Amino acid sequence: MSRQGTKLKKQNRLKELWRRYRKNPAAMIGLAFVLILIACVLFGDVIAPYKTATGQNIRARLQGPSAAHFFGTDEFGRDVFARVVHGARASLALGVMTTLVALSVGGVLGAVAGYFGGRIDDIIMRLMDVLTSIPSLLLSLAIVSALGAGIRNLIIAITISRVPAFVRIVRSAVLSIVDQEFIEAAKAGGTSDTRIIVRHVIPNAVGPIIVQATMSISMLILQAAGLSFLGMGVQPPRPEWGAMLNDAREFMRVAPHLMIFPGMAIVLSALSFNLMGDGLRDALDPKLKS
Amino acid sequence: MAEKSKELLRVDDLAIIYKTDLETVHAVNGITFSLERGRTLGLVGETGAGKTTTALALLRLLPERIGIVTGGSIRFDGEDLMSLPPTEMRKIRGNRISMIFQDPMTSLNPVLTVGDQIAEALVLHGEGEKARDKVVQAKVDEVLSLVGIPPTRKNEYPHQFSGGMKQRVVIAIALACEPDLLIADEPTTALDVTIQAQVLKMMRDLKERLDTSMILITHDLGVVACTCDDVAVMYAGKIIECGTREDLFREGRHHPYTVGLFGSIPDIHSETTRLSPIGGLMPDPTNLPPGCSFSPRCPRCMEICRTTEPPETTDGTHKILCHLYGEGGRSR
Repeated sequence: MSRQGTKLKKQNRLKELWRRYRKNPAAMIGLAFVLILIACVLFGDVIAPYKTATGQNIRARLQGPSAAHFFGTDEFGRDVFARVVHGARASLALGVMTTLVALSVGGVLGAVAGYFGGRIDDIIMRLMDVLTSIPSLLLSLAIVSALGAGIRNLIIAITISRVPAFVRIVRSAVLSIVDQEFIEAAKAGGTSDTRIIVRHVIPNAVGPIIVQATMSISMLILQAAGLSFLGMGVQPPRPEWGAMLNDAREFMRVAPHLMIFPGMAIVLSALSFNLMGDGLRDALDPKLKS
Repeated sequence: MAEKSKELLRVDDLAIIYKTDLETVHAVNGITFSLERGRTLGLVGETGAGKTTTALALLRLLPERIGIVTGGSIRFDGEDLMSLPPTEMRKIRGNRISMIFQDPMTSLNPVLTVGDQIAEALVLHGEGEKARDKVVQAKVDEVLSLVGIPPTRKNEYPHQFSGGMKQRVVIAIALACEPDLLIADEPTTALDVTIQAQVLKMMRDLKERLDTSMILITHDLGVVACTCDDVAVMYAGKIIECGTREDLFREGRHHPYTVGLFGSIPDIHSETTRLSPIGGLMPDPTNLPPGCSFSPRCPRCMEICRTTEPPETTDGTHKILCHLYGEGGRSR
């Protein structure tokens, strides 16, 4: 290998990942839709003013899709398109935030359990078993009912129900790494446990964890929508897809668009995060390198 | 140097077991040896003889809860390693005692550049504040060129190096802090023969330049002949013969196991189609035979060998643990 070649190779690690990711059309579609969602969050007001998403106009209620209202209007005459666009903010925030919080809490617990093993491992894993033995939707419902509805409590509830999954994933990733010789070599070099976890274990476990986190976003978007549908999540008049579905139930026959568009938004965003996760996994897996 | 005693490491009657729910493995059964500054000790023996266990015990890295030291002492430069608190032990690891592991393919972290990994060892042992420091980076360059790798390659990842180059990196990490003692656990086993010779020569040169003592674990007597000053032959957790390299390689009185080891090396001058191995297998370490543990395989086994542990016979620096040369045994 020539010197120039190796230099290029180093700079190209991200590019290489991107090159492999790009070859997967489904993953590209997923990524495109995720980018659209992010655009909706960042530039929501430019695309459709927030006023039209919350301002009521009884005269224009329950209209079908038209040039003035792309997705029609709901029972209060609010623009469904604007509500879907602004709903992305709540959904994405919920999905991403809860994943991040669950990932950091679960990551620390899982790394500690996997690295030290023994009694600490037993205690952490049995606690997680207790949490997983309760259906996650029921658990979040119970937590939200206890703390009161609202976006902050929703995040807490969903996070708690999601932590065990991350603890498991991180623990198993860590377990497969701590047995490797370079960890022993690091110990023999006098590296402290904390430093070994941070410098040597976590960076090697990051691939599967990133993939799992991406997949988890879609799951949590669904769960957040589900809780909002049950009236436990985002409170009106703030637009949220799950809550919009719930509002639309009564008008399903006369105005099916009320159900179709937010429903599509939920399905497509969940699907696109899944596709992206799949694509990332394939791109990160060196065995599929070609 | 003049102030310090010549003896760097002294291991006395060290015994180690691996204890699980199902069985107790007697890995090391009372070994005694010492190592002087600047010398190399070869620890020879077949797989499962307890060589690596001994090395791990020196660094107190035996698997937790399973590997238990049941007796004996390890004194390093006058300090009792067994009673040091963990934080003190950590300061010794990598700084004063370093270890090179068998397989260079797996003993480097795949996601860090080799430069970062060397810098980490330096920073850990107080050679600088941050890995990006000029001092640290200069030292990284120096260490890399010491092992014959151009410093321009320090920003590359382990997978971009060949096996021999990786082992050089591993050696560079181990030597970065200029340790007093280097433990090399079969450093060349995973390499092919031409690279082996290069790496061994390099280790020997570096050892001389840095005045490091070394424990070389190997099962290759050729490696021993060209690198070691002293040799200890291990069998079933015991040192059955030890002495200087000359003691071991000279014709004369030897433990039957050592004789078998030498006998199993093919001789370039005689024409044979088959190698002559030592018959049988190492005894089950969970259930060692009474008396001499080599007795079931020994071609010169006597009645006494099966019942009584052999005494130690000393001839100058040469020690043998065998009934053949003890009182009441035949000589020669």
